Amino acid sequence: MTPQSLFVKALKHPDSRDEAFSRLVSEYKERLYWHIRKIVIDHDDANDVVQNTFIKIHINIENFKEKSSLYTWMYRIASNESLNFIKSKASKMGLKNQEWIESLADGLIADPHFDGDEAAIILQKQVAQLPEKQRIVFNMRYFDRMNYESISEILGTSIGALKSSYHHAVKKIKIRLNDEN
Amino acid sequence: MMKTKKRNPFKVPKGYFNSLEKSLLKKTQVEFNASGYKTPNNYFNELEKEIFKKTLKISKLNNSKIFKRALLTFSGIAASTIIFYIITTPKSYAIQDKEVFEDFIETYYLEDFESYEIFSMLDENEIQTTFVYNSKPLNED
Repeated sequence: MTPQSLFVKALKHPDSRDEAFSRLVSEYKERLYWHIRKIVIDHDDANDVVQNTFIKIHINIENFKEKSSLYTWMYRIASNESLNFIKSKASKMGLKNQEWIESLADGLIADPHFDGDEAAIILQKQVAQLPEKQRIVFNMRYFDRMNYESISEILGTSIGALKSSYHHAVKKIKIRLNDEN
Repeated sequence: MMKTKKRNPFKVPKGYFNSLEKSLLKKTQVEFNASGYKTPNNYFNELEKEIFKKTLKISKLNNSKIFKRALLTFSGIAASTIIFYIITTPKSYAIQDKEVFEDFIETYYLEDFESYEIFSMLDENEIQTTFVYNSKPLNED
């Protein structure tokens, strides 16, 4: 039995669940938060989404069949939660998802939870203009330095498509930045 | 001829495409550095507490749901057993009641009445129909 299987077993067993879940939260809270934060941009929104993500993990751990790694499964839940959150928030505002994200990126300069320099703000604005999936791929590859195999498992997209998506994203950002300069 | 046309005459250094991605990443990261996002002080400790608080509530709720479901199932089984018992048993009760009553009457007559008293309670016709004397022996044909 692998260490992951043992850990999952502990998460599923009523006697060891609380302790194992506490370890899980300690281990992954920051990684999941940052993954979510880059998708939803705003800290308060990220806080809501990361809490919902861990609650979903807690509720659905019984259904986790270990077809993928626990880490991949949690990232998938976090990505879906973030995208659903954006969808619902944008629809409440009467905006498209992309418009909502761009408006958040435009407001970064006044965000108390953002201390990036001018270059970082420009980059975030450019990233916000990417199509949703391309934006997530770019974040995971560029900021989180994930390998394509992991991204492929999380997003359920082929490695070839991911590579193409990432290179398109980099190209677009570079062109736009050159135009701005 | 066809083979030479299809072949790509250009070459790149060994491992070029692997290093291209790395060098591209390096260049863009040097230019744009970190994402710039930050969190409030002590945020991650508070987050952990908040998550435990919420999951504990859910666990308690689930446990009480399981208890309620078990209680409901148990009461359902008990109720259906009682209903089944009531539906299937009344006839036997009735029979038992009737038998007990007849036994009581019989004992009452046998113990507390003499033949004279019994006769005194009957009409003449009843006496005749009840105690008809048959002179013929039963086995005689």
